[in-house]
Amino acid sequence: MKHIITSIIISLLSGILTTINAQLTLDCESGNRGVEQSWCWGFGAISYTSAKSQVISGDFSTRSNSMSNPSITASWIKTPWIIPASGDITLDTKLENGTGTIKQLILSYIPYEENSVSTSKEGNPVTFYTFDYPKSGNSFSQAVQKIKTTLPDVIVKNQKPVKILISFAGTGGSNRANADNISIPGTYISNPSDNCLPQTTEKDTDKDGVPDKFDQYPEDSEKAFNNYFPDEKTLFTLAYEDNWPAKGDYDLNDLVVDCQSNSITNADNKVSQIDLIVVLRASGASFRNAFALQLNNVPSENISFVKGNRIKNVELFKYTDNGVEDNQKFANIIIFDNFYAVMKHPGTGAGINTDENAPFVPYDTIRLYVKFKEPVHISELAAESFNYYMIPNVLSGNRGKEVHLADFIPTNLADPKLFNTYQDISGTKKDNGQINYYRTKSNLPWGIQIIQEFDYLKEKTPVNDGYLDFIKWAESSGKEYPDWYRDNQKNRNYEKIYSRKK
Amino acid sequence: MLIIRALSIFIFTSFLISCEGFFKLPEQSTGAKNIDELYVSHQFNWSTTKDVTVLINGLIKREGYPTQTAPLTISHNNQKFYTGFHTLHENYEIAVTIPVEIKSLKILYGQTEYTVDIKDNQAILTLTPVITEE
Repeated sequence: MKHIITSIIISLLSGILTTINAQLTLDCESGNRGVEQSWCWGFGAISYTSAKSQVISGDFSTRSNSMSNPSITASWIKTPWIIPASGDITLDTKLENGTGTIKQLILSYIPYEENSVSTSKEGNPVTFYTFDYPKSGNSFSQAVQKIKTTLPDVIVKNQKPVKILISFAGTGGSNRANADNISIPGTYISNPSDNCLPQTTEKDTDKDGVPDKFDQYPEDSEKAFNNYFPDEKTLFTLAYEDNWPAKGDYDLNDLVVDCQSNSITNADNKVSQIDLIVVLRASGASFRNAFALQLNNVPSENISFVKGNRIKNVELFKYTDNGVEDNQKFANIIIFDNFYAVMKHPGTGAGINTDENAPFVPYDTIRLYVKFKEPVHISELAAESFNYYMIPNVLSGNRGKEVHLADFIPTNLADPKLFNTYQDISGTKKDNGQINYYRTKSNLPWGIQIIQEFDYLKEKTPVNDGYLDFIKWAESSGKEYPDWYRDNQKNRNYEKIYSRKK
Repeated sequence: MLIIRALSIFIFTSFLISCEGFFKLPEQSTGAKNIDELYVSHQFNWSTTKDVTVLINGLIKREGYPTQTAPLTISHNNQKFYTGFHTLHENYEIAVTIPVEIKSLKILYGQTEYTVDIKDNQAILTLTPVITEE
């Protein structure tokens, strides 16, 4: 059935293409057979030559192998798949010397055989023209021969894909042929990205240019592909200290969330929507903390809507009609405005899910949808553009306190008066002139992103007590122990890591 | 007057030089026993990921050949980092963020799979081979 449909599509395509009187040409002037090969031309025992005595015109011509084999598959040039048109094949050719018994240039067509088991789908070649290189006395002429012949009616009328095979054959001697200025009436239909097979018209329901078989949203022209971070099956963890600008106890569990983003691109590889999954896991904090995302390269006005966030539990944040935070240059999405309003404190223990003696509170998952008015190129939304941050102690009425990952920029509602106070060095310059943000004097961060779900620490337990390679990783600037967070059964002190099983 | 000014500049400069160590941030620690002893480079980004730029050098545009596109995915060990469509004759640049320990990427371009090494945070796929004739 699939074959029948493909045949019909090729036939339809052929009908359209015959109205265009196209020519397929090869002049060798790329100087690199790889250029032609990448567009599905084939060469068998053929090279490109730039030797003056061998070049017919321009700077390059083709050069055959020694023509001492009568087979049409000994030394050959093969076109990509074409739909042939009426008209003449023309090419220029000459021999390099006068030796040999028989020297021929043979033209054949290769039919497309869709049901063939071979990956090339090539049928048997059918020869339709043979040119004998002329002799002058006992030796062959080395003059340029201008070949001109018509394509067989049968393939022009059929309008099915064919390849044209140009062979250099012969017996005796060690003569070679040069060829150039090849021109064949027909329309190119090979698909270089599909093993050079004839291109077919695929079903495209939403007409966005992405065939349904590749389109992950075949009925939505604004969406085509999912691009997950870290990947479709993985979430990453963000773990924060909330005592900024003071260093705190460094257990990195005052806010622990898992995230996954999906930048949904359209047919132009532009992001039309971002879907986020945020899993609330723990808050080993007495503060009521909020969690937000700034899209560093996206102006607030370019957001069409934000849906799914858990907000309006506190008065601290103001929003625009499209759902982003008001008075922000870049789009700021408050994902939740109070952890404790989403996950309820179990009644005992410090915080939520950091004290094994307190009841475990099931994780809560937020699914968030951010739609753009104008799609944004995916390169402007690299992972570094996703500037996740915490707003600690939202009940204090102070919106200016933010905790970002190291060197991620503050939003324009952050209070710069808090920079470079207590242990923080935000706003100071590094040796290379870049500005430090959210680092301690010893360059420790207040937040860390781990590329997988992170087994976070028990309350008041510094991260290095649970993760034995953490300090070595940091002191080596990440060169050593890059997998410090993965469980290899030797790099952890399990007693220090929170476990909900107990 | 000139002497006093020159002397002032000398004293002020000497003061700055002598205070350089005072103002300088702490050096990196080695073998810190705990978080309070830990001092790291201010260039260290604390990231468990790295940004890699994938460059696709497209086919060289030929007169009379149609504009064609191909599906493109970038992955490593079944972790898919990017899916999109590429116009064959265009050069294309895409940034992917991947775990730091990954050394190569698998690029599925149309029906063809390539393995491309990452060097200097770049992975380059050139679709046109260069054939050097003997």
